[in-house]
Amino acid sequence: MSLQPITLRIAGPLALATTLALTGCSHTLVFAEQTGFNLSVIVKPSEATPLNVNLGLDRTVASLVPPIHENTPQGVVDGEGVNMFAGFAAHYDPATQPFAGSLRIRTQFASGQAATMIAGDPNAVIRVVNVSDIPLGGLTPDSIRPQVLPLRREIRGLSDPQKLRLARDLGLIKPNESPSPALAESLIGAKLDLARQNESDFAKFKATVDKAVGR
Amino acid sequence: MTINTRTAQGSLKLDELQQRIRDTEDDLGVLRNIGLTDAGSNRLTFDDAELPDDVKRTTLETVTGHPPQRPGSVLVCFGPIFIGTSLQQVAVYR
Repeated sequence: MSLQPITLRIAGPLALATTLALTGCSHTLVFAEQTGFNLSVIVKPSEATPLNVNLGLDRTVASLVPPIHENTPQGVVDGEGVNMFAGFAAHYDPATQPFAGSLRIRTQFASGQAATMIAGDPNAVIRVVNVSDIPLGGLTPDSIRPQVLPLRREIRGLSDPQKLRLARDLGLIKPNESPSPALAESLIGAKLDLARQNESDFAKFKATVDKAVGR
Repeated sequence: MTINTRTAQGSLKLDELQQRIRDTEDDLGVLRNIGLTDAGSNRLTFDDAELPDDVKRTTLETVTGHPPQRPGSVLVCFGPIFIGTSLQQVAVYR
């Protein structure tokens, strides 16, 4: 038995060529990718190696990155290209039976103004190139809802040392760690996103904030 | 600026998704983009930017074709996402 794959070898280049034809020479960023998953299973009971399995992942990324502007009298490019970040993650969830697991391939990219805005923030870039699957939080109880945004604003207004102290007090960073205040604030925001869904968790979170600001 | 992404079940109804987005915006910042994951759910991108008090709450609306202008509101983004397990064109206004 031989199973042969599922790779669309011409799909990516064809899509890229079509896009290029449609956009011509305009200043359009083109991002195309092709991912092929190959699984070959050969069973020969009569041989010393009765089962031969070959598994592979083939990924091709092509990008046409235009210049931000052409600013010489001759129309020659004299500047940087537009910004783009891309991330890719392949994850195999094994199952009890061979080959019964799930293969998940996730991609994400940011371009244009979004990429420009995050270019100076390494933490934001990491979030783009690392596709996360954190589920959206549930509803905030009515009794808590009016308190969440003011508390978030208060956290945003903390000094950098206060943010780091709060992140430590919440157990988000270790005592000897000193991440950037932006990262600490991001972790605190994510913690608040969990705490706001439950009255007791929110009360604990708020008490920790009060302690960090010396209330 | 911090970007946070969250995934939302494609089975949520429009008003349920809208309220959960509004609650999430209180701590993760405003919704900037909507999209799909490869697992049949929705991916939401939040931008943790501080907003003035008079900014309107985010509103989701199913549309056909290009979203219309809404007086007094700004079109944030639009695209196909799952609403009640079916793929629908949704516009985000604020």
